[in-house]
Amino acid sequence: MAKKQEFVSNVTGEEWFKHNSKKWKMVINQIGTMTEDEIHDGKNGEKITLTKGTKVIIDDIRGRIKPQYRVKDMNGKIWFVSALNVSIDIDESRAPEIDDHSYRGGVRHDGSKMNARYEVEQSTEDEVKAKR
Amino acid sequence: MPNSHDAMFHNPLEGNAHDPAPIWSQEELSNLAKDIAEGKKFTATELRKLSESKVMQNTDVKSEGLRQNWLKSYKPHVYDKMMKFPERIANGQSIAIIQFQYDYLCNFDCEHCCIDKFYVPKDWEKASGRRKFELEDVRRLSTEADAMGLANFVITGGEPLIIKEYDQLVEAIDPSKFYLVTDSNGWFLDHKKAKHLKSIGIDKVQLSLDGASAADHDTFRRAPGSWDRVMTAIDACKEADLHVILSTVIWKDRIYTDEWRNFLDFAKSKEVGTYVVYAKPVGAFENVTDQMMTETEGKILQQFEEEYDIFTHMTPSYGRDIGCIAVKRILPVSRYGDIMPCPYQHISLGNFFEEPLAEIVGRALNMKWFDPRKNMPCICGVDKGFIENVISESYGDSEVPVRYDRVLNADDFLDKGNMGDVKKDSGTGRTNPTWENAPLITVKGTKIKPFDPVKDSMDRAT
Repeated sequence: MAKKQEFVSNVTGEEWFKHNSKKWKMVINQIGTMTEDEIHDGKNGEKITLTKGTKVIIDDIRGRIKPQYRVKDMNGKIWFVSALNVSIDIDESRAPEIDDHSYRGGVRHDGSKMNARYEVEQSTEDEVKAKR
Repeated sequence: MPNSHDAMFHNPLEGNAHDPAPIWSQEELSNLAKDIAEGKKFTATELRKLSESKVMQNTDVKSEGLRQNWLKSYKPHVYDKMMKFPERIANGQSIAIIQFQYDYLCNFDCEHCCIDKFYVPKDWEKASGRRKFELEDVRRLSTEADAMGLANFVITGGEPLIIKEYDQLVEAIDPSKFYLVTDSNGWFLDHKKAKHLKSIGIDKVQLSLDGASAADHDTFRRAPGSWDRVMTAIDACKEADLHVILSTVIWKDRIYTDEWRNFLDFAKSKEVGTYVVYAKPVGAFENVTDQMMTETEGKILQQFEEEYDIFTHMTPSYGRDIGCIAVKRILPVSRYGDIMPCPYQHISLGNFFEEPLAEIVGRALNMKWFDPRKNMPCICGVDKGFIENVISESYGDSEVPVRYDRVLNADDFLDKGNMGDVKKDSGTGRTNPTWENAPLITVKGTKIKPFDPVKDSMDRAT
């Protein structure tokens, strides 16, 4: 196994290593367990904690350098947590549910569609292929 | 020392007798500068000779006159648009550079990456149904930006040079319509690639470099060997006659180090200008607030600007001090069509796939934070009101970019008839002392048009 490449920041002193995120099909709609407390900023400067051991459902992914999962806790509250802090036992019977998702720009807006002013006929991949 | 950014078009076609362009003798240059100063009209042959004189490889302020001639010769439409910039500023219109975030894919893992939260794995992006820019959309963006009189396009990322369809992307933007810049970390930018970039219409390359030594740069960029690649890239760009500048990140502690001084001396020795980017507490640097620049460091940096060919986003450009450049001089466009005010303000002003660019920009210029008449400070860097009421909403568990109607209310608009999805009764009476106290932008020799918020709100967009 290749040695994990690590860097220590000259700015913050943070130790960092390159992560390998799991493929989306193995992650989306799976139930995960928080392996660390995640302390986040709430309203009015308060701190809120998603505690270690909490069960969450993963429903989106973002980031590559610091990969994050968008998760819902038991109360339906949405959190963005470090992908490194979630342990997942893959349940193959839980297929990814993507039909209900919709995005406005880069942002998830479930249930609301973007107000498209025009459509294009070809994807870039199709257009480049056709030119060859 | 005046920097190359400040001097660009400050004195159109003034030229400079000290330009060291290789195929011109000193005497020829003196005569040339005199001719330019006297307003001589050049023949097509003379202009071609100028354009073939490797003018773009000289990056200092002394070469600006020749670079302008190159632009006039090879991109007359772009040149004409740039000549109208003072008029546009005076009329309260945007002269924005389109900062096009076509793809977030990157071969580096830089520790300060401000765009990391925008990255989505490609296969998940497709499966989830996000609409992204296709080449046809790029053509439309180019057409609309051109119609608005915008003249600059920067392809950024991610790392642009790993985009598979990079050549088709450049073609879709249309180099004849824009002064075309590509950002790059330099990893794939060898001599062959630089020549190719030049051949497809790229004018300028902005190379990321964050240390005078390989150890400093490679650690910050988390890419061993990357410093050496940047060195090759600088030489390759010069040889290919591409205008090349460096881009470096400054944070609070760095400005007090010998390393910073060494970096500036190094850039000077390479004869390249440097764009200095303030570290911002966004993206992978979210919560790293103790390393943000303060007013003190900003003043120190201004002193360095006197000594070195460096500039920041706050440096007056085109001879005009417009203050914060958000919307007015920079307009990031995300891969998913979101138009943002600045690369560090993860606020969506509207989406290109929903509304024409001109309408989005017209509405944005109607927001007090981006008022085209006002010389505002760097609002996302130093303005507490903006950070607390607007930008902080894009931190933590927020999806980014946050749409404008979630963070702005009617109090933030000048013309209450052009607020998009913001409700007319949404005002809470919140004040904006930064906007109230900001001085008017000064445009030398041109009187700023009296402002009528209702009548002008759409005019300013087009």
